[in-house]
Amino acid sequence: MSALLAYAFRWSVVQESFGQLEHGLRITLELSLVALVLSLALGLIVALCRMAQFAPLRLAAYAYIQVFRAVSLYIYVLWVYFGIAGATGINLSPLTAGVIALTILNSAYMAEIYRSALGAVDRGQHEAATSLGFGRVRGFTTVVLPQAIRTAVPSLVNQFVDIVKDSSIVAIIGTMDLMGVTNQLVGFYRAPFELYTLVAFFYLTIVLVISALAAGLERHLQRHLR
Amino acid sequence: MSEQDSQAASNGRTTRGALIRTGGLALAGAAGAGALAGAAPAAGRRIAADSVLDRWTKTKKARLGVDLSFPPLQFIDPKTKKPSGYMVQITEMMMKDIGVKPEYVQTPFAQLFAGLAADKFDMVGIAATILPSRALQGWFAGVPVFYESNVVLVKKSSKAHRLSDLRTARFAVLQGSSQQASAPVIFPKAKFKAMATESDAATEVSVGRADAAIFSEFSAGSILGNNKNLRPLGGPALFVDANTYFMPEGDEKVWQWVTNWLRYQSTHQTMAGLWKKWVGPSTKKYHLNTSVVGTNGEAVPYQS
Amino acid sequence: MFAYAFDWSVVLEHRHAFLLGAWLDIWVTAISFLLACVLGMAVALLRVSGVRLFRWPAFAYVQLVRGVPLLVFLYWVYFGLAVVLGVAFTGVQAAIIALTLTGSAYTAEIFRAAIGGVDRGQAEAATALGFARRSTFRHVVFPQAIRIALPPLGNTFVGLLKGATLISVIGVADMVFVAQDINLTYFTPFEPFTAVGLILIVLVAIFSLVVTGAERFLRLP
Repeated sequence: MSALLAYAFRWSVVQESFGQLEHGLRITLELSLVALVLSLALGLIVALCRMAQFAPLRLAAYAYIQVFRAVSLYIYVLWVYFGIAGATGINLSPLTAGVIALTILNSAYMAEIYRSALGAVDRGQHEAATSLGFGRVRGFTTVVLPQAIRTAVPSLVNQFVDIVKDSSIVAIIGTMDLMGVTNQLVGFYRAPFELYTLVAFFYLTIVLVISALAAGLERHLQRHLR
Repeated sequence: MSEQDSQAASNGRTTRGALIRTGGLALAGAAGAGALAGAAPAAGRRIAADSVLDRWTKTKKARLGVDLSFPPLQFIDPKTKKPSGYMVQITEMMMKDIGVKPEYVQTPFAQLFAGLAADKFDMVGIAATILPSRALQGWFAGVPVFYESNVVLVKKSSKAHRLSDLRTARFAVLQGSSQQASAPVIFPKAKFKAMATESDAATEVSVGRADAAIFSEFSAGSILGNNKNLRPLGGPALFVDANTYFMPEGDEKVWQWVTNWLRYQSTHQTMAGLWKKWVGPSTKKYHLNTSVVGTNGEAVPYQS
Repeated sequence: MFAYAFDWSVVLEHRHAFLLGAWLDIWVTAISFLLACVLGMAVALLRVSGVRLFRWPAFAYVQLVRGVPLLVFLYWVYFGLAVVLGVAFTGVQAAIIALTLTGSAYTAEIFRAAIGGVDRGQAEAATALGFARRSTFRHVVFPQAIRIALPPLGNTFVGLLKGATLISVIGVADMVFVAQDINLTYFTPFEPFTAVGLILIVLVAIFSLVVTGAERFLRLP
């Protein structure tokens, strides 16, 4: 405790760092949003493959989900950024490598979320759509999918929160997102406690804002049910 | 509970790293680089087919790998939010001479060499110590950009006052740095822990996880200014390293050009003047030894 | 531009280092998981306690911890907190603290949902049968809640194991550190990172089998 009292907090560093952190915040949000949109799309494709009639497709999707849910983002980012580049010469910027890694890993989770949501839609709904003359595809896109997405929203939002938090890991290969900028600022000001506390609040704020927006979205989607 | 395990774990790591690196140093000294080529398989080594110099002048852009967490050599200026410092100024002067715009690829220091091997950028845009082990993986320019005089920092309350007091100490060093490579030769009985940034290594000492850390004099100045818990051990430099640009193996054209550009600047005292501007004030304040790059690239002690 | 010669011998030569590193990841995860369960259970009990004075701090704790990335916790504990408190946490200690904090936000929510998921009628029936409040919880609600909580707890363990692969950033020599070290020394990035990826996939697969077995064992006849 005596050390705590002896420590001279340098909160002026926080004020001086705001400008650079704002820039990092923009990168974090861009990285997370792009990864969200891409993994939503890829996840749906994987989920549909997982539920396909054709067995090899179903097995491939199963393996995809099991493998990518088991790998950690850090290892996967290192593999994509260094491993792939070293072995094939395909060269990605840290930001692109981050988007790819976040997208692929999260699409596996998204696929499982879609699958359970699609499974929860009453079979009768699809049959009703067919009897009303909707084709198979239109019946799916206009009747089944919207209902499934409504069920999936809370889980998808949780997944988005994970994407934002995990995007910090991409800084280890050199992106200048919130985490990367913070590490650089620590190198400049040498005030780790103040700066890591500050960046924790940045992430916390993003997550709370997402949660608040999601609560609003859920209310909006449920409005006709009341 | 985990004290011992972690200790053992970090020992295991540093021993491994140190073995490979010091082994490399010793071998290079004894048997020359040829013997080492077999010892260290350079599978990812990149050999240039076309010159990056041609690519630069054609596209007017150069991808340079940098770690900007080394004030006052290379860092982000909090006011302008742009890269700044001794190395940045020299690199931008050089690029301006061929009308090329540098594009900085930020990469943690330890990964700069693997990054060049993986073609993440055309050249390392900051200077790195000329180490025999690194020289197996790429080419260093023929003239140094600066000389790095290494000093030992300890906690203010430390009982150590000369190097011999630190024979069995726990050292924190920058991962992948020349300090990590060279210090185990000077302190064979010491323990070494590699940290990702210099700031982290300084924290290791100030919280007591390490007894001492080895820094270049330019970093020591900035660290001492921000961390009142530390003091320099004093005395002459522990060792002095030559630092320069690192580029793909086999690219003679860019190597010739960078080397000649540096030779020209060295005879014109450009590096010496800029070193006095960026590094001089802090070495003077903390009484640290330092050298500048003189004519034809030799080290000239600088009395601040 | 350059041809990559695959060289798996580097990985094989360092197989003991990889396995030792993997073992470190496993036991750091196991300790953190147990601590996160204890802490999470305490927070969950506060949240369902019905006392507003307890409920609010518990709610705030979960929100706060859930909003901060593990990586930030690792740096914050190891470099930040260490400087301020003057306590020289070892890397492993800092890793366990950070993983426990992160895990506790998840376990607290899991236990809360599980306790809430037990049919109210069960508790009422127990009370009617003369059980005291405390023994109703211990003998009736808790065993059923664990059964509900088991699958998500398994997911949390896997999440922490994946999180544990980050601890090399604070200098802990786990399997990823071994892979990084090999890459920095030999410039062979593909093989070591593939190796640690495969080790992790195998570990997760084994663990999933164990959890599935436990679920089957606990299932009511």
